[in-house]
Amino acid sequence: MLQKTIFTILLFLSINCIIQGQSKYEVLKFKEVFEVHKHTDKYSFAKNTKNEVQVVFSGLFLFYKYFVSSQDVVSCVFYPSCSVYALQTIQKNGIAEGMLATFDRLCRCNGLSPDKYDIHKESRLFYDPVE
Amino acid sequence: MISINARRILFILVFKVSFLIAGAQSLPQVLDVADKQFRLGNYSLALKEYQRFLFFDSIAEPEVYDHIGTCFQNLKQFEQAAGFYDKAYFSYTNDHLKNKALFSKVECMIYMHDFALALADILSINDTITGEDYYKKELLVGICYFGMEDFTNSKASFVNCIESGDSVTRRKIVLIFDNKKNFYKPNPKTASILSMCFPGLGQFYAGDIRNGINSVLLTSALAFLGARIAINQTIYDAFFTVMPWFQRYYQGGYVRAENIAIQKRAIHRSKAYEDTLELIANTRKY
Repeated sequence: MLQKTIFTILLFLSINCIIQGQSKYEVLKFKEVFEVHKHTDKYSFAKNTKNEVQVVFSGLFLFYKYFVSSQDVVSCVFYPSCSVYALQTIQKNGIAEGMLATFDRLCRCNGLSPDKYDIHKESRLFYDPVE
Repeated sequence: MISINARRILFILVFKVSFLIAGAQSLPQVLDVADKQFRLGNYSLALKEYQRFLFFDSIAEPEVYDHIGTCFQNLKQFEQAAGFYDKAYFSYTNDHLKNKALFSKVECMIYMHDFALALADILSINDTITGEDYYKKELLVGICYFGMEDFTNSKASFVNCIESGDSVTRRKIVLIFDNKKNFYKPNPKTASILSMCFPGLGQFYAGDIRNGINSVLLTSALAFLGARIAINQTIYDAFFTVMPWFQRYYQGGYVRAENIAIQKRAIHRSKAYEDTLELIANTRKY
């Protein structure tokens, strides 16, 4: 009799510890709220090289980005930054036109004409992509 | 053989009759299609039909607002979803359904990281609620406090999500929250000050060895260059040529150290939060 009573009490307690109504999913769906997104390789585009010139420029770019620019304060007023723009435009338009576009971009990197650019939503910098 | 005239007459008749039979979709039919798509989980299609319905009938049943809110929520458009849940909340008369709509609205605000407003809304719910609604409320309140970095109140609310009889799980949650390392380490200010004292030290403190070595090498190379110019030329030459570069990377170093510490601390907090939710979820039946 005593064993049966103890068993009933234990069974009652164990059922009581499980909350009815709210499902596991309803709790776990909030897991993503504070999820920290790990940075993916932002400069993976620089690794798609087609010829020796692109290999040299991409190598210089990656060295600058990973070892020099990563330690710098935010100084470029544009998104994408001048170095990213330079590589993208050389990849797209070739070395001659790409370098001209880069010099043009470097001359404009001063924030003196805010009315000429849209603001990039995430970085809050002037949006000036390669066209 | 049918003559050409008879064919023409037949064609015109079929054409006219089809026009007479065909009629526009009525509002209940639109709603029916929307509900069907909603039940099938085609939220984008359902939303179009619900919006069509609302265009012709601006005052709808609260369930319609609720469903539109759900559609927007599933399409990750949380701001619009919160607006429709709000309408549903004010349209429902039943307390349980009102609470359900408010919970959904608060969920959307949590996803938007608007924790203060979400908390204000969730705390407006009557304190006398019991059962499922009580646990839902405590969970949402806990998340809001966590988002506002009020970990003491967050701990209390998460503990309340567990039945009072389950002291083991409650204790585990308390232990997670009592471990300061989970919430306050590494300290971004300490990382920043350490990097100001010696470049790279803050990065080492925050656990980012690669960036620490990078900062040490860059600043010491610039310092070496400055010293060399000062010895070979004059101290003014060194000051005007190297100092701007040194200052730039020295400052960049301690700003980066602070950011690395913030990122690492966010990872620790996220892990503690996930562990807490796992513990709470394990007490749920299904």
